[in-house]
Amino acid sequence: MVSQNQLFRTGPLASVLAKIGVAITGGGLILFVLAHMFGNLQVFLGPDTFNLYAYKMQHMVLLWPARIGLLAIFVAHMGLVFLLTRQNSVARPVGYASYEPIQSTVASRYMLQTGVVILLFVVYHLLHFTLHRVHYPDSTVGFAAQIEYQTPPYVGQQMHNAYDMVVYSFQQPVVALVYVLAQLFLAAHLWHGGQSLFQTIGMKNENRRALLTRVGPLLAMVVLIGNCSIPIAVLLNILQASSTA
Amino acid sequence: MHFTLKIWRQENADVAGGIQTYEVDDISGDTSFLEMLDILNDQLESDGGLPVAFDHDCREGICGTCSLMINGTPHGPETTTTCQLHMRSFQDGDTIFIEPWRAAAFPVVRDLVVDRSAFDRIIRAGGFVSIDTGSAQDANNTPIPKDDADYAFDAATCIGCGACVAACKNASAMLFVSAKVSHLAHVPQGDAERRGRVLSMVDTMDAEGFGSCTNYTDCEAACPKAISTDHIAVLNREFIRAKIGRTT
Repeated sequence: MVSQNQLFRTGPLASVLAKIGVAITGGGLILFVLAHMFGNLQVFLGPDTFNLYAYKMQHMVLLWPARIGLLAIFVAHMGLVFLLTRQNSVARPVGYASYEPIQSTVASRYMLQTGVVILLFVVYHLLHFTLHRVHYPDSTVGFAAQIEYQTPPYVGQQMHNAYDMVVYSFQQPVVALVYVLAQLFLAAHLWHGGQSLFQTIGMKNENRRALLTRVGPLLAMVVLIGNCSIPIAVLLNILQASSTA
Repeated sequence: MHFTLKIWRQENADVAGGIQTYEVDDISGDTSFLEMLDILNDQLESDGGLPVAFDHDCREGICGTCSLMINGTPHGPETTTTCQLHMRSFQDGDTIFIEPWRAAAFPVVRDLVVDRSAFDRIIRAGGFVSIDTGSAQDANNTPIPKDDADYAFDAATCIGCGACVAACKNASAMLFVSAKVSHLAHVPQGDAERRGRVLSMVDTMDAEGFGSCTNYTDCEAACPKAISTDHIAVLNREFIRAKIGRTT
């Protein structure tokens, strides 16, 4: 007989619950990645549109709550993964002399590694475009940090020249290369994570499996192409600086 | 056929083990993998050595007793149990690695034999129906949709061999646990206790020291009964429903 006590006995953080947490926070991060990408693609609509977008983001009422919320999701995602990884590493103390993965994808087996690279990239990306500490262009290359807005109803408004910051940054091939490489790691992470999350929250079944399994690769390709298009467009001179200091 | 065998030898759980190399000759392609090991053991015994210990029972692919990680794949290259694997699946002159299932929850007893009683404890935590249903009622008194019955049966074909744990990079038992949870969640007999069952079985799975699922899906490919990881989605769904509230 299964006693009631036994039936309701469950640890504070069951592995399945932790995994559901990873899936849901991962889903949240995917939504951010998509919003971030579509926001940034406005760079192709010209300096005024892009600078106004950047200005509005900077002056959003909920800027700090949004940043803190995003950071909390990011930290929760990593924290739960840390706990699960520790559980997994003690689950097999002695490895195999010979071990052949059967059908798992490379992306699925290297989630931790691609995740760590993404973390390092995010730190670099924040130092670069948010905090302006590394690889931030200066006036020696012709970069003017502030511009006067030209389009109504913001004519004369001083704004950060985000458009030129992007262009002058990616004109340095090393910087463009770092961004493109990072997107490859992000794409690999999304390739697995973008479909695995549906399995973890119990959405997959016989009928939906084929469709939902394609979401990850599709998402990976959209994000890879979308995000890489910006540094590549700069290197190909499709995007050019709007002003010189 | 001639084979070079690299076999894990370990006297007991308390001493360190290692890979030993053996040669076997004149093996017919129609010899089963376990018969090939029997031949090796005869050879070892006649030379005064100790035979290689390995688990086996029915040798018909239905009991789930045989195990063996063969060249890095549970039960070897075919989708079947080790006992139903034949040497014709290998090339003459092949080197074959033979190792025990590797998991903290499956400690080595001797050589290739591991203790899989952790699975029994998971089943004991809720992998059954505790309701006394009395004597058998008329057939079809309780209608069950054919799809549900088939789905439950697919899950119920699990023989508890542990290949899923052995194949998983995380040594996770999710496919095994999900097979039982999904089986009982799809039939009315299991419905009454579905909430407690999933929580209790997952709890025991964690307590036994298995890893967590990262959806590699190598388990379903290694499963000799081809149980799908769709059942893991069912387990996750059952778990969420159990956490949110009663399902009945």
